Amino acid sequence: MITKLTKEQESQIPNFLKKWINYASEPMDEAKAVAVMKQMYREMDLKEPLVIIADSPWSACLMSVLLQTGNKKQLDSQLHSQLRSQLDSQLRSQLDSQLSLQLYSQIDSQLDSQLRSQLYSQLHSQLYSQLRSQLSSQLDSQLDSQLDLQLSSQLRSQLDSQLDSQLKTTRPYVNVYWAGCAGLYNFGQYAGVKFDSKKLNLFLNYNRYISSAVVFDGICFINRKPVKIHWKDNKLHRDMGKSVEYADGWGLYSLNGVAVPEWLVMIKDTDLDPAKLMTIKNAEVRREFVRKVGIERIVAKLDTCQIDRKNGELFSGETVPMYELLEFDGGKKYLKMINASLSTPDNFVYHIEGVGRNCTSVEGALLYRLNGDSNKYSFSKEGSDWWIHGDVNIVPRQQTVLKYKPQKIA
Amino acid sequence: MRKRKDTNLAEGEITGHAHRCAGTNVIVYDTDGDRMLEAPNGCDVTHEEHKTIEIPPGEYDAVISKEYDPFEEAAREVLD
Repeated sequence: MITKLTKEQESQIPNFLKKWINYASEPMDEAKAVAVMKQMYREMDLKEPLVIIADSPWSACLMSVLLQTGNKKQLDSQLHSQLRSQLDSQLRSQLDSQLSLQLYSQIDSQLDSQLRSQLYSQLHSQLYSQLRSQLSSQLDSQLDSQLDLQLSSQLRSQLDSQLDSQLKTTRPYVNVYWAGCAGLYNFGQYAGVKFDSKKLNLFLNYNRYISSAVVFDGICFINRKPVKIHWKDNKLHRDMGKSVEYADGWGLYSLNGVAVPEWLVMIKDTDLDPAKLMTIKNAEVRREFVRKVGIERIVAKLDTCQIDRKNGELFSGETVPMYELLEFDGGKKYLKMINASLSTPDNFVYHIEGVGRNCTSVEGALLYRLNGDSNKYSFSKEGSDWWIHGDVNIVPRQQTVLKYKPQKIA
Repeated sequence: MRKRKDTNLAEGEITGHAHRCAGTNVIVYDTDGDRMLEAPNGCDVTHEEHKTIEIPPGEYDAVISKEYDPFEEAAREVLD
């Protein structure tokens, strides 16, 4: 049982983090990628596939869709039947139950629980946060929306109903999620944990060389890594350009870790019309719009009238307006709130949310956030404690009378 | 009520971020359109973009904030 790391081992943790983050954008070693993909198929008791390499996840999707649609009649019947069977869930299960869980159990049995918990937090959680939350989910979401909006509408007329349903399942299995685990196991190996070396090598190599895959019986499509990933404070971020760039020009647009539409990134802040704020339905995209355009410019441009304000303490006792109830845009009312978690003493970050036209005070607006059009909750001095965590209100079960101020806001 | 496999109170629509509960014996249930948290020993609620808050032992409802949509002229849940 390993109970403590040496100083030398401890000093290597940042290097392992850096190494696995760099793997996300290192040039693909094509021979190794093809070999590991074939090995993964063999481990799933499937025959070796034909591995096709695309320049981006989008190209990989397109290739697989075109193979299913473009030459359906000429397509070799065996290949066509293989394309009907996508193996996404089998691959997921292989990575999860057959590899990652078994490797974790080896960590579990050989590392003292306190050390395991420390490494989990220092390696897995940090990699998970940076790679999985930032990169993987954005790739999924971008591909989903493009497949649904662009490909479906462009190709639907050419597809019979069966192929149409196949198109809906043509998603690459984005692999970045497992890189968090790979970083942890890789460090565990360095620290002396004895793993099943065949499983470990397969898991590490797969995570290093394959970033996403569209997998079918007998054939699979993988893609080269991005040519550039732009991070800021461990979040995907680039103003006036793609945050993730692939060789074929495809990529992602993100600001401060939030996937945003291309126009919000590519239009200069001074050319953005503040009134466009009200057309953005997603709260985090709206926050990035406010951050880019500037709250002062929005308030000035939209001829805002302040109806109510509540101050609060932020940053070692400094009193600032935490909430403002504003009226603009023809009588519409909005609650302007400081994001207490993202703001810094030099840079306040704001949310703006629409509230009901009948709201006349900040309390009324906070109640609207809880109730919407219902009257379930009310405020009283003797009410129960409650908490605000972003857009989630945490309220004691069966209690509908709450204190005016939440116990904690984050 | 259905017990969830994870302990998420809510997930972001496009960011992949989630409000997660961490604590001993924490269970999150899907209820009628909402989620219910059972935290017999209290828990921490974490999120990629919000500071962690501590919740004392108890049972809680996770109520997603509503906002007024001036175009639909109706309340809807805040999307992130």
